[in-house]
Amino acid sequence: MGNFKYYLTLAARNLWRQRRRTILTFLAVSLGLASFLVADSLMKGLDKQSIDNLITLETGELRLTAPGYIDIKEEDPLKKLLPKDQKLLALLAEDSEIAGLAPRLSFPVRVGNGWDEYPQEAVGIDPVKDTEVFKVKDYLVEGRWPEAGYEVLISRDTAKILELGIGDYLLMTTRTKSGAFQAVDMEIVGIVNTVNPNTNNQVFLPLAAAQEIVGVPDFLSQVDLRLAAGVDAREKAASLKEKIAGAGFQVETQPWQEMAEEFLQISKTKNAFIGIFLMMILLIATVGIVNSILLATIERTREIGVLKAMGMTEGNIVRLFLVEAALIGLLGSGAGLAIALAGEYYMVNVGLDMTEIIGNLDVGYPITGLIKGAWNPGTMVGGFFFCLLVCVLAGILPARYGAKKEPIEALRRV
Amino acid sequence: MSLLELKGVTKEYSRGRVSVKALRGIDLSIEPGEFLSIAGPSGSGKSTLLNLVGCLDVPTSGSIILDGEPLEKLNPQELALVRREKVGFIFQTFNLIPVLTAFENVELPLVLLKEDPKTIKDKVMKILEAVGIADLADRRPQDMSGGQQQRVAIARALVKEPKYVLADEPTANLDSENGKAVLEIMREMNERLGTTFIFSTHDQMVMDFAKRLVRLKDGQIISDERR
Ligand SMILES: Nc1ncnc2c1ncn2[C@@H]1O[C@H](COP(=O)(O)OP(=O)(O)OP(=O)(O)O)[C@@H](O)[C@H]1O
Ligand SMILES: [Mg+2]
Repeated sequence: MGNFKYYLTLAARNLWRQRRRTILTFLAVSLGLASFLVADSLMKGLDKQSIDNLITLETGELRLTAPGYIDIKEEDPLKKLLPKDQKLLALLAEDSEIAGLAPRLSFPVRVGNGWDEYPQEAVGIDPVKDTEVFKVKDYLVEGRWPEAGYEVLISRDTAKILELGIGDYLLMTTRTKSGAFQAVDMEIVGIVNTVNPNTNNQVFLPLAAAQEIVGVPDFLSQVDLRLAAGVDAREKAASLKEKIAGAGFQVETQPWQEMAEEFLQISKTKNAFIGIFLMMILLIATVGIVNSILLATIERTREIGVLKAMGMTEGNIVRLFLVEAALIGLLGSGAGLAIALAGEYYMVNVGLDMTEIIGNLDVGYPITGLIKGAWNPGTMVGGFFFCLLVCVLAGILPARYGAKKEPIEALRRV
Repeated sequence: MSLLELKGVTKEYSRGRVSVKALRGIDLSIEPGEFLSIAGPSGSGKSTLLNLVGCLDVPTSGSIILDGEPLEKLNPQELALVRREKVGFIFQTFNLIPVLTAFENVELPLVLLKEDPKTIKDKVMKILEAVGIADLADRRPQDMSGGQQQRVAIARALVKEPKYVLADEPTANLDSENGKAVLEIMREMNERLGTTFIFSTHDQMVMDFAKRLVRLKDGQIISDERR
């Protein structure tokens, strides 16, 4: 132990002797680690926000559909519908693990102004219940929420493209369940601009109107659920399906994780990006440490000779330089962690406004605007030790190079 | 039993095609407690001989026997351990570790021998007193004169009570007064502790201090006198 203290003193003093170089390496290590941690925090925040936006604007946490609905949704979503059964809805309403339920009926439409038209998805909503699950209403930029009759809420993008505003009529064409052609004029009562680009391609209308237009009174595409805090969507999907089957209904349940599969795929690519980032710090730290230790062994060649004459073995010399590498690593990683804490505090509480940078570009994320970071204690601990380990490992090669010097050769140099 | 026994030791340095015969067959025995000077002109092989005896290098041929054990059988790691336990070094250019204080420099050999802190402290202070620089214990080499630094180096060489101390031209970088003082300390330690000293020089004043004088020329011993 006394031995280690001696090595530590020697290493610390030598680092201090070359403080300019030490500080450079220290900065490289700490900034490398800090930027990695902050980037990871942002990615995690992005994930969290994206998932949040996906759930609160698009999928809900758990979706109930008729069996087989998922497979035919793309071609003919009206083919397999869920009966709007009061008993079923009551069963859901009574479940204490369900915090909100939103019956919806969606089908493809073409919306136009009489001249241009675009394909969109019409979503029939229960004007009251829908807000128990979804937050679309929070993103109203103009007008009001559709309440009854042939009222419609469109996205700001759609309004812009079609040059329509509040009070104008939207021409909506579709096919009824029986295949008949159907065209209706809908009064635009609200314009919405959410952070989920997917809602830009949706128009919202009262459920009753939707059912009437496609000729399926008393039917729904889905019931979307919000779960009570702490309830796992996957587990609930399974248990709820059984419970409903017990009551005599055949339904399919889908947790948000399944609905967000595509998004979670993107999340994986992003993890690869983080991996590249990690390789970069690895490189920076390695180059910094190798440079530091290599130069130290060259400058202190004579000292190495003296230490060897005193009876230090190659192993002792390697250890001496590794203590130096570890010290830089420890200080650098420590400072990196501190910087990351400050940076993440900012990212979590203030965030990064992306509108300036990317505008409302659809980048594959259900997100626009302000990106906030998320705390990543696991990555912090892991990153700290990883960085420290990299520093020590990076020191091994130059340390061994230094330790290999023959004592007489080392002593001859003046 | 002799402390050191050299039998037909040669050393050849080869640099590319050129090879230099630095030592050409040295036979020498050194007894415990000797105070021996190796003298000779520049290039005669003094440093080479000390390096071999100090286990810093290995002979090209011949054998060096330390305490009855031939050194040629040892690998670098084992040679390092022999140096650690048995050999003290004093260099012409002092070679103290610049970032360490006098105390810490002297402490090093004992730390390597894993002695406990209390023993270390006692031994270091005692030897610093013996060489007359106890009051400089906390100074760094850069804040000491050459003479003071060489005393620290002597203390460092002696603190572990080695079997023998090798000093390659220990006074060459000192003025005559400091040189003399350093030699007196060395001789005093030799007499008090019985430590064997082997030092090289080409300075007549230093040779006069020696109790045995071995003269080298062109890598060979040309005289060996005791007085
Ligand atoms: N590492 C080496 N490589 C090649 N030649 C060497 C090496 N070391 C010493 N020599 C040569 O060996 C011979 C003896 O050198 P050595 O250093 O032992 O002499 P010395 O008596 O100590 O001289 P000085 O009084 O100048 O220190 C010299 O010719 C020298 O040039
Ligand atoms: Mg010499």
